[in-house]
Amino acid sequence: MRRFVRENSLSLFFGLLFVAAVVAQAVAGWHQLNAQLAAERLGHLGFWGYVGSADFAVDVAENWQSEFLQFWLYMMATVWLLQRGSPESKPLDKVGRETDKEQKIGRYAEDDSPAWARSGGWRTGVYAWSLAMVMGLVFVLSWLVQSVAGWVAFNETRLQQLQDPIGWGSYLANADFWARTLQNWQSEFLAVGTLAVLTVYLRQRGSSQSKPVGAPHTATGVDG
Amino acid sequence: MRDLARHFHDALAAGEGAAACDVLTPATREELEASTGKDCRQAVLEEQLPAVTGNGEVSVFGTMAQVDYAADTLFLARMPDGWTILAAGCAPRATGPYDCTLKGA
Repeated sequence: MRRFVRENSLSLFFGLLFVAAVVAQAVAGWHQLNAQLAAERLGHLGFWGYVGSADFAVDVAENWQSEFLQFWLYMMATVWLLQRGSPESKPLDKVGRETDKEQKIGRYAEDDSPAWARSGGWRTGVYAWSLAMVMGLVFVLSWLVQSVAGWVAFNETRLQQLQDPIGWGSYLANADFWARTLQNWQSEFLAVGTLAVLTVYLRQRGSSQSKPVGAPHTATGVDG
Repeated sequence: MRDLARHFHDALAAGEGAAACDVLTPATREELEASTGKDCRQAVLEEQLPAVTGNGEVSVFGTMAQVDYAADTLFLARMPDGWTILAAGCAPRATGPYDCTLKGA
């Protein structure tokens, strides 16, 4: 058990942080919504009513979609794009999908390579893109959830203001949908871009996200 | 929601002001009494809201709903005790919110 915790401490740590943060978000959002309802004299919503509401769903989903888009884009960009001196970049002579030998697939797979890396054919093709496919799928699904939940929450507000609701198609072209989407995208793109550049010149001893402290600024694709 | 809207209009048609007021939100009742200076049970009948026929078209989004008849549009809110009428006697304007005879402040 102790060994399990030590060897999986990264995922356990962030898993616990995620659960704590989403619960805290639900509590804060619940109070925020009830303050708004009280100001408009529209009663109040119970905690579980809020957790099941479109307001909560859109606030969660709009953040999820941008995070998974960030990871998907970063993953795909780092196949073909370079950043001299950054540990986030591949070495300058490794642009592209690389050779089967470098990727250890098919006849170049090793004894402990994953089964679908050894099998060749469509299985290896799918497995070679599996991370992008899953990240991309989660992005698309969470963006879809954001669009539906955001549409419901938006129309709920319109009805409170004695205005007609709008259709989902109209909502996809509405400023509310794009403001929610883009406010999240800009921060994600800033974060990964900043990481790619700052790691050229700054260091964090012991982190896999940093070059070794003594590594030169020009060293590319080297991590600590 | 459709049943609630129908109940409200049936109560008005039958001259049952109390029954009509019972399904209004507290804010709507108070706004009516404040603007007319009369008890809700009397004031709601004197507003002479248009009579409705047929089944209204219902749209529900979260804790809000709209019931749209040819002669009237109502806005409903789901309060802790159930659905209530936030606004009635509403007519659309060229832009912006509906113009409502009865509405919460």
